[in-house]
Amino acid sequence: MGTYIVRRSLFAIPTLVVISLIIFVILDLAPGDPTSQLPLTLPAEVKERIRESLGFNDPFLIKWLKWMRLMFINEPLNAIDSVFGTCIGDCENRARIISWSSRAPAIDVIYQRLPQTLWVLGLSFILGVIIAIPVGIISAYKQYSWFDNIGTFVTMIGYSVPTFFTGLLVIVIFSVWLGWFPSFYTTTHTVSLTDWDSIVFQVKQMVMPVVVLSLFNAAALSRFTRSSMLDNLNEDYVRTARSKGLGETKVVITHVMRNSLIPVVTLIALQIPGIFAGAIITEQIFRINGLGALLITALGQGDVPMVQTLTFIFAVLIVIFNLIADVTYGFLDPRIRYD
Amino acid sequence: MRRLKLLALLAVFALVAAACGTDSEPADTTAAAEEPAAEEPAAEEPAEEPAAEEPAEEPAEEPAASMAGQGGELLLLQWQAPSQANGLLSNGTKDILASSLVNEPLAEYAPDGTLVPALAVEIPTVGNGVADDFTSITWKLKEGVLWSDGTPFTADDVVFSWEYCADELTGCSADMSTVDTVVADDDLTVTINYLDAQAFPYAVFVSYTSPIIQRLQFQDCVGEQASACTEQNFAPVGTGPYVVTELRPEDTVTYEWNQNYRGNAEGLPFFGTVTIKGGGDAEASARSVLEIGEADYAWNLQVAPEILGPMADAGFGRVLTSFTANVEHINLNQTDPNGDPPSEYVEDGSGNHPLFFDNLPLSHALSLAIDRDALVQVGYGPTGTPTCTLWPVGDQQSHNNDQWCEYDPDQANQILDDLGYLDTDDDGVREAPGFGPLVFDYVTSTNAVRQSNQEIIKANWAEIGVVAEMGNEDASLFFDGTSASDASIWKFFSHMEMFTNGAAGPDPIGYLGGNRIVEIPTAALGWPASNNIVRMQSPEFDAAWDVAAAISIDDPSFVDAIIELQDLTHATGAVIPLIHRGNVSGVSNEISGLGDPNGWDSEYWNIEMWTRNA
Repeated sequence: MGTYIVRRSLFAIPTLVVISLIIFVILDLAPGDPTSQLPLTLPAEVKERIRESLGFNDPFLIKWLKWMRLMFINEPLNAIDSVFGTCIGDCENRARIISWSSRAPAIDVIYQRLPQTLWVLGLSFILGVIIAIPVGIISAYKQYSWFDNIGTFVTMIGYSVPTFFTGLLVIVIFSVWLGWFPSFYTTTHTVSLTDWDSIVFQVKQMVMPVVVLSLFNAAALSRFTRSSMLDNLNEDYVRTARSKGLGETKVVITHVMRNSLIPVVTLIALQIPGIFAGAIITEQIFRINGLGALLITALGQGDVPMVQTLTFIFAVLIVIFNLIADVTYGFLDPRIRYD
Repeated sequence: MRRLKLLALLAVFALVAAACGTDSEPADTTAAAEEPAAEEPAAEEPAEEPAAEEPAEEPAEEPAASMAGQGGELLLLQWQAPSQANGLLSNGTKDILASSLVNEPLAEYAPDGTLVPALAVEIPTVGNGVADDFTSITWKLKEGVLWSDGTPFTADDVVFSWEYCADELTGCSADMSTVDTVVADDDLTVTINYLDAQAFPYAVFVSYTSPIIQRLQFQDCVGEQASACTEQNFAPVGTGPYVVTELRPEDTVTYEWNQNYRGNAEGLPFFGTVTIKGGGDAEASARSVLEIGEADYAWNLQVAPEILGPMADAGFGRVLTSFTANVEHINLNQTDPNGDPPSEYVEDGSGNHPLFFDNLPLSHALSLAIDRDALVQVGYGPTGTPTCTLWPVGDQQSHNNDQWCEYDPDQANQILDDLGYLDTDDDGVREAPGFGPLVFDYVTSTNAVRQSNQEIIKANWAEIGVVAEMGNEDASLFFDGTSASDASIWKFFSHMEMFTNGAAGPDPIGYLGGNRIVEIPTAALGWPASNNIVRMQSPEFDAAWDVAAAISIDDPSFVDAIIELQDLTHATGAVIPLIHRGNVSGVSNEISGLGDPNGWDSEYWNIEMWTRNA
């Protein structure tokens, strides 16, 4: 297993280099103008000077090599410096990847967005998992019962109805008619554990987006859990366990569920990068302004460095979590052996 | 099972630790910024009074006599969120709006288009600041104005702001191409020297598009360094009523009142903190202010009237519309998009459109067939009115061509018959001799209102035997000022385009000058984003413009000259004006002191006067 992990990690590096090159080529070939949102009345020369100052007109290879150096050397050094308070090399004047629209370091903007993304999307993911697994298990165990049918119905709706509809619906019901919850998310709100009001406010502004998203997440996962359980419930070892005299609960929880959850756990690991990419539609509706919204805004504004950095970070996360999923699978299932 | 539980626990722990860890923002959030968020529920709980709560938490530095900053929090929604707050590095209107609370220009435009002094004492006129030959203008600055850090504002800061913009590597977003030098005559007097005579000498350092920044703060940020100065760009020092406390790009900007603001003695500004919250779309912003009442102001509500109307009736707020010079119009390509190279203007006229160039009757027919009232009703409601000119501003508006914008499909059919464009094969589509069937591609940006208008116009034209094939492009490509996108309006690789153009300020000469032959974008020039997008070619217009540009705006013949320019534009048949569009915003009924909505300058231009009703 150890050699497997080392080999996969080493493979990841050229994979990521190729991914960054592909991202770069696509973005470089795509049309887009960082000055497109400036008034049409601004003279062409002024707009051209702005583009020059951003480095828009540099040759493609120069731009890619510059970005590689910044991304693989400067940014990690900067991260180490800020986390550990050290000063490696020329820490004052180190060049960083600069976003074209805000002229701020792209990584700083991304880091600033992490709290709301993790709070809302992370929590809805966890909630989705907590809802999905018991629902899937019980649905499979009591197949075709009223619980199963209702569960299927609700999950079908949760999966088919788009989040922009459910999101708007909860806003209209709970914000406009009832006035219970705010319709947008205030990112500057800080939660202090000693201040009950701040906690209540944070909960209030999270309830609607988390509920909308977790219903969506739970839907797919519960169907998968259910089918995985059904596969295992008909296995011979289950009949053996029952005939040994074990109680039903022990059979289901200790034997069947453990085996069914193996593929489910790997699926969860593969979906974790999706938290960071953000549920873009939900972020837009509730104005959560997380990483997904950042990506869309950056694309619309032609802010190429930000798009490159973000998509590359997502690529890194996907590669890492793919590895984690594979390793977890081998870890949990003794029949799988890597070398 | 144990291993599974351990993994799950670790995952949860990691997520919670990451979320909690990143929550403690390093020192950026002051007490003032924290309060607004905790106060938000106050909008829904009628018992809490924000004004009564605020004094307890205000920073304890305000002088005892001043009532400034006691008004609590103001929440502004800009669905296009600011990216940074330096008005000279702006990325769009959203950024200069954010900067307009902090930095001021020499003079501002009032809602009626007149100039009002801001940092200047008065508006210079000929003989009192403006040179007789219009090559320079001298501004006298107000005495005793301080920057928010307490240092005095002087003419040297104006000079520095020009130096900042003049450096090509800065990437300044304000247009100072007409300026030769800016000189400080003394601490409170500054002279701007132009390269050529300027009939309208008030274009530089006027309005929120070119504010004044502080030399002390930005002196190391000129040229290449401009992008590296994130701290300065995010929290500029200004003379305005507010100071930035925190800026999160494309998300939120929080401000607190400037304690060195010259209006403090009169109790200005009223509000102690301001937050600009971004994200979402126009409809969500409108809902927050007009239907829920959880915010005070929503900017740029491009929402269909059947949605905005009921929202405005909900009782929490009202809709404000300001009309400037934004005209939604159709451009009839004067060059041939099917030529080789496509849509390329050539001096000898060989690149011109076989049908649209110099064909005023056809342009009239197309214009008469359009039901502008239906367009307004479906797309704009009270925020738009039909128009027949590109400069529908007050007395300077030409009404000489209004008869060509009435809805009269019969007359349109008659004109086309007279031109000889008959439907010879009886398929409902007319043919023009030498051209073929009247089938044109008609392109605009992707936008719900624009698409619904396109459908109406397509149906209107079908009744006169003209087929318009609708197309739409994403706004970032349609308005792409580089040569990268073939979809851009400057390349105009289609027969017809529709979009809105508007003037930077109430100066018709600068705006209408964009219709001159010299302003035509061509491939030969590398597709500059210049203004004569429709490729209008009228030597009479160019000559009349040169004459008009030399007339002072105080001269009584100025208005006639502007009207003549509009008529000459009309005479080419290149442009079909459709709708005079207003800028739409929403404001809560609790807020007063706004006056008329300002379309010519920042909508927050008088934010220090805004108050909340008790």
